[in-house]
Amino acid sequence: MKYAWLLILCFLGGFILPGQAQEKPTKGMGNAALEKELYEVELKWMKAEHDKKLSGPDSMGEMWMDEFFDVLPGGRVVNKQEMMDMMNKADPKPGTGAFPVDFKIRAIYGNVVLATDHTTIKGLDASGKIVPVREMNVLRMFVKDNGKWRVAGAGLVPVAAP
Amino acid sequence: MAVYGDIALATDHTIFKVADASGNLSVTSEARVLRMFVKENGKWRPAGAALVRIAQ
Repeated sequence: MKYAWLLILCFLGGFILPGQAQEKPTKGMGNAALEKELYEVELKWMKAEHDKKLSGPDSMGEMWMDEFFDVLPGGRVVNKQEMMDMMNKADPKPGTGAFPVDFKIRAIYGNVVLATDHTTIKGLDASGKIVPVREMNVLRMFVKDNGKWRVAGAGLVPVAAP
Repeated sequence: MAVYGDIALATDHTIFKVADASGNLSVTSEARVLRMFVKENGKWRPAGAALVRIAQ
């Protein structure tokens, strides 16, 4: 009889707990699948910027929320249109651009995820060699919009080279 | 500022000041701060921040 009650409690718990989990922020552990999914979104985000893809699938226009904003390394805040204009005016060479690693989910609040990574910006030196030109820790914000993860923005904090 | 349900994303300009031995305040640095807030049980609470030093 004792085991029957235990079985019933486990059965009920299986239905109740997921509902509770959605209301509370999920911390750090056990988000490997979502972390992988969002890192893939991030890599598409970096590719869209590098390739100056303004519209269409996996473009800045499609992936970024309308309220998107970035806090740039010097402290300037830009909105979606301003950032797209900046990217469109850039002249990225192959092998240069933003390379994020160590992507980690820091908090999940329903349909909003806050994550961090370490991003290396690579450019060309005077001899045309690809070199790291800036290291940053980046706070990245994602929103699930109509079932699809999209980009809400980022805060780019320069750090000394590791 | 952007609001997604119970999450608000905002920015501000924060000035850091210290007092010297005689009590005079001076600015040590300035930062653009990305701030995140979560509405929990009807009350807005800070969820975190990213501080980007403003180039002087």
